Amino acid sequence: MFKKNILILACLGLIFCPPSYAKQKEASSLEIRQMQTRTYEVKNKKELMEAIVNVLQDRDYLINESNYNLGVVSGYKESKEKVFMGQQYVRYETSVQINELGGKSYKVRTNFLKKLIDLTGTPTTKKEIKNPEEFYREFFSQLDKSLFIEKQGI
Amino acid sequence: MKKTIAKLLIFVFIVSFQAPVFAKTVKKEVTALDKRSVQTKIYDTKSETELMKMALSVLQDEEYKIINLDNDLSLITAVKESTRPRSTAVKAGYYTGALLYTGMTFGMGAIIAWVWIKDAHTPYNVEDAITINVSDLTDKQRKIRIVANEKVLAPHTGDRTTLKIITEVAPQFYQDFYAKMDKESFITKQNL
Repeated sequence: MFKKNILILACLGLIFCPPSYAKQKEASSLEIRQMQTRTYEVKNKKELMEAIVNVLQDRDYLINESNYNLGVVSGYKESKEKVFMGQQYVRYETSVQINELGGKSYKVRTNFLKKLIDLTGTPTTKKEIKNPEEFYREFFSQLDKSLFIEKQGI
Repeated sequence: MKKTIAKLLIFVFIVSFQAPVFAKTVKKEVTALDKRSVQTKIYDTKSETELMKMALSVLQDEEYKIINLDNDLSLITAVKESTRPRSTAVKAGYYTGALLYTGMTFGMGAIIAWVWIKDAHTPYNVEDAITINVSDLTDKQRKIRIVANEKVLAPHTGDRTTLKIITEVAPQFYQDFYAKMDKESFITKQNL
């Protein structure tokens, strides 16, 4: 009987204690900023802003706000996503901001929001972006590619 | 003997699933360059503004409403609301459902079924959003790129409108848009 109880406890321990259940440490605001920011060296601000617009268009975003003087571009994308036992419509919203650091150096900061779209087509609940680090890394990698493509005049 | 034949048939049946006909079609991933080539076109114009004006004229012809216009970045975002009739298959589904419901309720549910059928003839509300991006390519050439998205909403009698689908537009949309742009380019060049 005692052995059986130990065995049951061991099994439960194995089920509920894997690393996936570990409480994840929330990223500090500095860590979030680091994740969302990159520095670029380009000829001018317009080249960088055009590359950003092209990246957003590559990702099927529609631009709903832009201001060249302030260096801000905002966009959104609504699409279908597969979830367990079905699918759901989500809306990604983004704001990209460019700050001149001096010379030809520019700081690009972006943030993405994910919202669920309800049955009536209205964005409602805010959802966490899965693996945000990779999400932002992918965005900046696309921006690198876009800058290269723009330079080659493709 | 019969057993052997049966085993052989089972073996052939199982092996037949490996035939190329049953092969899962692998969807080729569309690269950013593939997308750009469909969405982009080059025009010979004097300036970015000229191409922007041409695009604006096409948008006006198509009854789009401008929601963002940035002359410095040469960006235009516009939205269009239209209606689209429900397909025959959808209508047939509504009628079949209504008939079955009326039959199952021995005619008592006929009124509800009638309201339901009415929905079959209510067109979908379609929202098309488009972002146009114009940039310099050479001294005489300008590049225009468009990205569009479509949202289809289904209205229901006596109930709220529900979202049916959100999708990227088909490549035909870009072809049609650029065909209109070509006409507009001709009109602009002729000063008509």
